[in-house]
Amino acid sequence: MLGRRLRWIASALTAVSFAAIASPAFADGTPDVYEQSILPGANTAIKNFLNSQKQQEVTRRQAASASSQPNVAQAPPVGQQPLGPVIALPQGLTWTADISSAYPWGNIGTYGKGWLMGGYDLSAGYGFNWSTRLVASMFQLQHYPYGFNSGLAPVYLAGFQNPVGCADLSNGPACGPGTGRNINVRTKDTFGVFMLEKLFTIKSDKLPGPVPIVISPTYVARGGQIGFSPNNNDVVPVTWNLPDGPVQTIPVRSAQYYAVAITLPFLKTPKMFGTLTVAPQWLVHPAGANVGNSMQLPQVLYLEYTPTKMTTFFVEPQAARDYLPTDPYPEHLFAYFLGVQQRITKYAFVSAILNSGNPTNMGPDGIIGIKCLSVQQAVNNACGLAVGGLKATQLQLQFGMGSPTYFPL
Amino acid sequence: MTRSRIRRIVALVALAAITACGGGGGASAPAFVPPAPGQTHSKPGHDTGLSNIVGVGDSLTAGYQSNGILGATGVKAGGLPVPPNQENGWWALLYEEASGKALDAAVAQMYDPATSPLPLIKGPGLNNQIINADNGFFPITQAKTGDVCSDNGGFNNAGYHLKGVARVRMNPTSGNIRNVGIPGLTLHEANVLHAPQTDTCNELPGIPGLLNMVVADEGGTFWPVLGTFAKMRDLTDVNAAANRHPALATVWLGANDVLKYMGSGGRFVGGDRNAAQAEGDLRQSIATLQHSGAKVVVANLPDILEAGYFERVSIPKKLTECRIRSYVSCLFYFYGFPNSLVTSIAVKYHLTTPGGCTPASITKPCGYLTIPGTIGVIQTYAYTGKVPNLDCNVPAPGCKGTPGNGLGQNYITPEFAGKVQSLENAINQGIDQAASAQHVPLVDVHAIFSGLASGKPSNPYFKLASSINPKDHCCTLGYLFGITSFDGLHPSNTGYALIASEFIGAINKAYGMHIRQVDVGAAYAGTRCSNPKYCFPDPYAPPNDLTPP
Repeated sequence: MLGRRLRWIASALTAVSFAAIASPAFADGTPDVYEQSILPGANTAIKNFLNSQKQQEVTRRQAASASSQPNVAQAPPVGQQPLGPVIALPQGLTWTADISSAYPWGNIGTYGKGWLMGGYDLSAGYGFNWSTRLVASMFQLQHYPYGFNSGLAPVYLAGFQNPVGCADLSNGPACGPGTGRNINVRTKDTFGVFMLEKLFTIKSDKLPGPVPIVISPTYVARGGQIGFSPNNNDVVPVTWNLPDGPVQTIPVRSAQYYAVAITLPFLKTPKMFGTLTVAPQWLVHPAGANVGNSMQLPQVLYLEYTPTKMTTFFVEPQAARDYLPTDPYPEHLFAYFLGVQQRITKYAFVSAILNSGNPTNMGPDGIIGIKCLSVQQAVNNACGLAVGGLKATQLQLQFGMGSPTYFPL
Repeated sequence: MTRSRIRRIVALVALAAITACGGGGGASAPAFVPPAPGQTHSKPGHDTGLSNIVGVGDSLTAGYQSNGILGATGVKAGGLPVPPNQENGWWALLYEEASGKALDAAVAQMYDPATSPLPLIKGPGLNNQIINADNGFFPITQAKTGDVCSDNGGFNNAGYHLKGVARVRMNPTSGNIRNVGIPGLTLHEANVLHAPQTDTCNELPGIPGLLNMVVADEGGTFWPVLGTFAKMRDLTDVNAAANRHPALATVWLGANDVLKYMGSGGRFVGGDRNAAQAEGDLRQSIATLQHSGAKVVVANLPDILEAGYFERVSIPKKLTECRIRSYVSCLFYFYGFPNSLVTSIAVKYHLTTPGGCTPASITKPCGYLTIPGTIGVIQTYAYTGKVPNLDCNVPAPGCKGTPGNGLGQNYITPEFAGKVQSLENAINQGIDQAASAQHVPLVDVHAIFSGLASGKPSNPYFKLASSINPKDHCCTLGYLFGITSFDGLHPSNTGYALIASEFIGAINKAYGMHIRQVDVGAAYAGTRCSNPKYCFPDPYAPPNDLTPP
């Protein structure tokens, strides 16, 4: 009954996702790197390994049971059930492609609200053996950062200690005629993720069995597009350290990270599975407002429930970190993902994911000020935006081919 | 000055821009009382030859006068002489006296583009100087007519561009510049502004006029002053001064934080707004200069509302009070306008203070018309018998203005005057705190002007100034009575000499120097040197009286 209902839901979601093609969205994107790229491979490897161990244990018990029959002669070796190979990381070439769209929830500011434009995700991996795999993937996120263009923002002019006026970001009259603006901050981020997945096992007499751990050295390169960027990229004027900070036209959503993700399991039952991931992370280089480059330690908890072989529910709370060029210090993001994924054919799947997050150390949210170096900049709308914390909540619908994220191959 | 003469003066003066000056703070005993007019100069001491002095500041340090800035001599506009003013500012006088040279040589050095520490401005000068037209029907007029932005081949507009420095400066490549006073500069800007906020004096579309007004003056003088420092790393006004590794640095800022607030009717709040901000900015300036090796001296602000630019709407008991303080009724008197006209205007624009008022007071402030507002009334009433709408940007017959629009520009309500004074006091408090914290001497300019405003013969400053030329009633603080220039805000030659005296006294006292004192009377009379091209009678302190025709 449940399986039938889920299939119906999945079919409906598939129809919707065909109508509106786009990608998931999140405040800043780093949580998605874990959600979309790093965790699935590690989780798959660990789950497969544990399943494999389980299967081998069953086989051993069966063999032991057979050999303990007093009135039955020991089975010849050819009659024993083989233990079978260790199954962990997918071997050979695997791939996934999906298209998706997202709908923003909550207060997204005043520019407008509606389905976001389309995005796509691609992933390809090659497993050399059960414990070693290379993965290259890219995915796109699209979002309206919460509060990015709502309310009134103080306007600073170079040289002055205090704001010389304000801008009504809703295009309203609150700051007087001629000073309002309505900024198209619809944002699409593109991520490239390159990682090596290596599965290790920890064995000890004190453990019931070998414990799999996946270590994933990862390189992440991200860029983006912002609606009001004149060149269809993420190069826009920004500022920081008001009132005297510079105004620079830089790619504000571009950054590169190194991370070493370490994933280990904490729960495995026939229908439940859980892992914990910690990932020491550094910027490849600071940019813009970045101050320092100390190690960050994102932490991800993953818990899934698989009522049928075709359906997976999951919840994924994160304490992630983001460090964009507009951030003096890394944003400490609390985020969560709630999702369901349904396989509809052997090679097709749909998923619906509600994700939400916001920074815990960067406030207030959205545009916190506008800095003009000259009055001409004000005329030309070329002033720099000082951006505080960003947060977003959205529902992502996804239709994919290949290996679905939340199912083992 | 006769009644008819003042009538003509007022009818022609059209003050447009507001830049520096200011005031506030509590009165204190003068740190130094300058010698009486004619008193022999103190002899040069062992600090003779002190020439590495820099001046950080605004229009007051630049030597700005009468709504313009000019370094060239022999400039004429419509056949009328336009007096140079940079060389007559207090900083130039301090520099000359500190040089230890004979004044003829010291003054000549100041005027010589090859040797001057001033960023000398070519004729016809930047902005629009109000000049004495003694030989014509109108005794005072503006040097430039028509569109001041494009007049003289766009001379003013050239000042907004770095490449325009060669056009507007007499010494565009000089390596001797040590006075970096930029008209319009605020406390915070001195530390952080590295380029003008606009590159045109034309009004910008889409930007409220207020912002244009606020940035206009300093935008047009930033490069003319700092052009020779343009290639400096981290260029700011303070950094440019520190770049000279001065032995002595003067810092006088804060007036524009008050004036920009005042002139906008409180709508512009970009400047420093409290004592902590002023202290923080000034301490940063002081620290930068001290780090470069300089001994530093700072100054506080005079009470801006005591300046002639602000004409009180109350009626003085005696006509002679017009010499001491500025009243609308004093100017109306010479036109034969009744005092009831003043009263009706005051009532209409909520300027009255039935219980009396105390100037420079927060709790019992006065109401004022500004000089532009006063002129607007005189011009319109004289021709139409009606009072123009003072909420118009330029009061004129039949104009219509939004209620409240004229606040700050044409009139000052008592309530707003209290706010202006409160801000002034806060800025002065911050200056005082910064001086104490950084252990630098404070030049009490406030004491000079509060003394002049007191009108008390016992006050040393009043006594000195009023005795310069008692026959011709010079010099006192009333508008056109010799202490301020024709714009009512910036000091005359005599006023600047008084300020220079106070600076020299404070420097000598704090640092044990023996800089020669300025002869204020000689500055008034134009006898500090023998070259009449350089030393001439104060053009802003002409013979004056209140004798009705």
